[in-house]
Amino acid sequence: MKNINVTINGRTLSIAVDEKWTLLHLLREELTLTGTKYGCGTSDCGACKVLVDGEALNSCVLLARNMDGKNITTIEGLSAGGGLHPVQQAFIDAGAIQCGFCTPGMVITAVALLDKNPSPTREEIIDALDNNLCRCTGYEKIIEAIELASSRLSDKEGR
Amino acid sequence: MKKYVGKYIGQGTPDIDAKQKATGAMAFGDDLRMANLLHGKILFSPHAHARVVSIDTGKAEALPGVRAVVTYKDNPKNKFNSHWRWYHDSIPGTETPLEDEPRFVGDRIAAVAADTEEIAAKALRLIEVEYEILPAVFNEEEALKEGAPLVYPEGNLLKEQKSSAGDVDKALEESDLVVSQELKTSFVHHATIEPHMTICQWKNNDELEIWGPMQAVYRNQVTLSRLFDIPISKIMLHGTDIGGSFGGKDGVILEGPALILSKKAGGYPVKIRLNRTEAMISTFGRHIYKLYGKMGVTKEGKITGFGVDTYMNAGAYCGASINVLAAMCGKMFKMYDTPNMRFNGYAAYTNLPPGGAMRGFGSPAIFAELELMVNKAANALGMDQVEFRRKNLIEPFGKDPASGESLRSARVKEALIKGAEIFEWERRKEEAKRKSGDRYAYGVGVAVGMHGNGVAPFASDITVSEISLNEDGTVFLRCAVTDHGAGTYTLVRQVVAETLQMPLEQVGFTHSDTKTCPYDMGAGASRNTWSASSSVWEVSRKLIASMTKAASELFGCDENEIRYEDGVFCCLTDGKTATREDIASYTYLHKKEKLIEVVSYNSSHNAGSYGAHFVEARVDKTTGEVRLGKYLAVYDVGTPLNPLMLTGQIEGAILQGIGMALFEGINFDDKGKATNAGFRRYRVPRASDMPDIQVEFIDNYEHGGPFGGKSIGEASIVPSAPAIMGAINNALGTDLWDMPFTPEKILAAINNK
Repeated sequence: MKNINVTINGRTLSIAVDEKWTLLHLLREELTLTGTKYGCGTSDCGACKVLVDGEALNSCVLLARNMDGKNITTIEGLSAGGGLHPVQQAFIDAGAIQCGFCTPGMVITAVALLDKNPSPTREEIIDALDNNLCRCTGYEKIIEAIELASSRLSDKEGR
Repeated sequence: MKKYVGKYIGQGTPDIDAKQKATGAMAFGDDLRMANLLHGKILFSPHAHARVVSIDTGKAEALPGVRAVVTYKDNPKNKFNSHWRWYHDSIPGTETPLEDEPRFVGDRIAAVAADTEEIAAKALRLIEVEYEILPAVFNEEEALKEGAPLVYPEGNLLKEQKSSAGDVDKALEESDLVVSQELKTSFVHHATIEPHMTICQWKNNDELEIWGPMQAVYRNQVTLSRLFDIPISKIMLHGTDIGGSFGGKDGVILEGPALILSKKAGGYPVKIRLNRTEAMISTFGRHIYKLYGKMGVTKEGKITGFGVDTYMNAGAYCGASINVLAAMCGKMFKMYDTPNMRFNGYAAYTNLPPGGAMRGFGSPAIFAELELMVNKAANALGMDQVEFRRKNLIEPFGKDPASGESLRSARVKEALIKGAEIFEWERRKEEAKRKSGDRYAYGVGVAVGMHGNGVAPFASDITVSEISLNEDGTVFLRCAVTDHGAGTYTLVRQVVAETLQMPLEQVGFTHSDTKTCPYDMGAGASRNTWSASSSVWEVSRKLIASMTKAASELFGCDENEIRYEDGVFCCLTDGKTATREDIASYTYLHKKEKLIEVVSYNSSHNAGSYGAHFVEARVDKTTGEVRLGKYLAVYDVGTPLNPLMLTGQIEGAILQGIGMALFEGINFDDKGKATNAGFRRYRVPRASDMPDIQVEFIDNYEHGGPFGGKSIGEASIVPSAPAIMGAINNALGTDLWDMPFTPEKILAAINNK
């Protein structure tokens, strides 16, 4: 076991982690943050994405012991104040959610994209989604949701 | 019939659970937390066909933290079929929870329950199994030949399915032209992002309790009852929210090993969750088929008749194969207007993973075959592919010549014509020809397809719904229907809110659970919209009737004089009014009665949902890669009940059609072992693969569906792959038919031209 200090959804924790634990294991099995999903375990589907220092990364291939000093936001952290993140609201409004299993990873990817690039083109959105698989929607409404979130966020800043 | 648009019905409504899903709060099966939960892992066969000569679990059992190790010795005496529909279903039960004669790579050999998943995995590696390797057969046609290795001693032919109308041989003989068409399909993984899992508990008093993603809790209940000889009344199933299914979570899959582990471990609940590779090799997928068709036409472009011989690779166990073959056969007769049609189908056991239920249930393969054959016939006559279809498609309210059943309001021709207009078929076709050059070839494709609604008239198609009036005038609905992610939980509440003229949010609902809901035969056969929602519609109307009766007593006026409008009962003679809350108070206080209604609904007839797809493709002749441009899908779904979710379903189906046409299929080596089991090497369509999709509906109202609506879930995928394959053949002038059309196959076809 190794002791790490890690900030998760704004709370700094000092925890002992097993050398072999992935970040996904730490979140889901040890901390019961089950919003982050397992889909493949090989970094290919994006269902387990979380923000690590602002980057959307696959937690299934990150080792928990390497998270010392990192700032992590999971899907639960985006609506921590009770209100929805504009990206979450846009996913609902655009009909981008069907079974919902890929949704947390998709939302995390979208939040990371819009933080860096508030007004992405359609091509930039498609590029950003390249490591997120969805089997239900055909991505169309997910892309629309990100465009909607982007326009709502820029409207807000304009005001 | 005029289009129905209401306050909720016909309005685009986001998934009612979307907020929970967007915030990560929705509890899927693997998110449940339970006291004393043990973790199970399954040992899968490395051989395609073998006999277990000896199995030593001693070292595994001795590992600290291991609570139970089970093998075939722990099996109940009965075998089962994962896809039994009801208690006396007669499709053969060939499966056991754990095998001593594994019949495919991925068959279940042994299982371990331990304090952690890691210990269970370690224990699996300590199980010593000695196998005697047996001869294996993988190809569906090889399996049916004399002297082929036997998957079962009784022979490899699982089912012969034959149906015909008219005289196909005579029709072909008298035709001006006859074309032949082959088609080979691949073993497609459902690729739900949520892998399979279950939590099972064998309680000490021989009661079973199960939690997990299941398409049909009541069907699994009867299957487990038959397998374990436990009364149905002692089996409880709780369907958790499903992270995608498409047929992949239909039937009993992991429950067998998990239950015997739980029993042996002393009654603690056991969770088994598959990793991606396990889900790909050990469950089931879309059937591999080889089809051979012949179609005769007159020189004027009229189909005189056609016949299709189908070889289905059922894999190692029967599962849903017999049902899929029958469904496929039935659909073939419901598209083209010719008196002469023949289907000869042969389902063969092989030593590959079982084929099973998957979105479209046989329709994607049979319509891919028909549509490629129709293209070929049109091309041979020098006739436009849309024009040829227009000449030959069925009309609404025609007859299926094989079954004699009415085709009902099947408006496929209208969908084709509307689609050709919107897509500007002629213009795009000419443009594709003009644009094609040395590097890129451009083409357009069109395909039609259909799927049914429910299982009538072949089987009982029952959903029971119960609705109760709460004291505040809100209602609570109990219905065991399961939403795969297609929006059924939203739709049934739309139906209640529309019928009872009340806010959607005031409709309480519990579902997918044998403990809290009355019977539903399960999601599948595109019956959620058609049958389950009709049940909900009927029970809602019944509640209005009983509330009206109570209102007449309250008002002291005749029932005929009462109107229910905007959620208020009004007596037309004296103007007295009462809300649902008033009615609930009245019956509670004065009649000492709670208003509750139950309907056991059976869908008595079937109808088809029809669609036409149009697509542009660009093929890079140097790499064999395909890019899709404009894509249009036009559907007859009767009343479009929830246009937002309908469009989403169709867009997702197009994704899966792209996968089938261009990339997807598990590859098996010459020992029957999958060589691409994982998302790294099994290519699922990504956002960058998607075309520019437009979805349209034609106006229709189908009697038998709620508010005139019918299903989309399965019909949506049927024309997708053939439209894309047609566009590629159109671009290249090729006759490709071996799915998927990978760059290698496309390059080979270019070079062979």
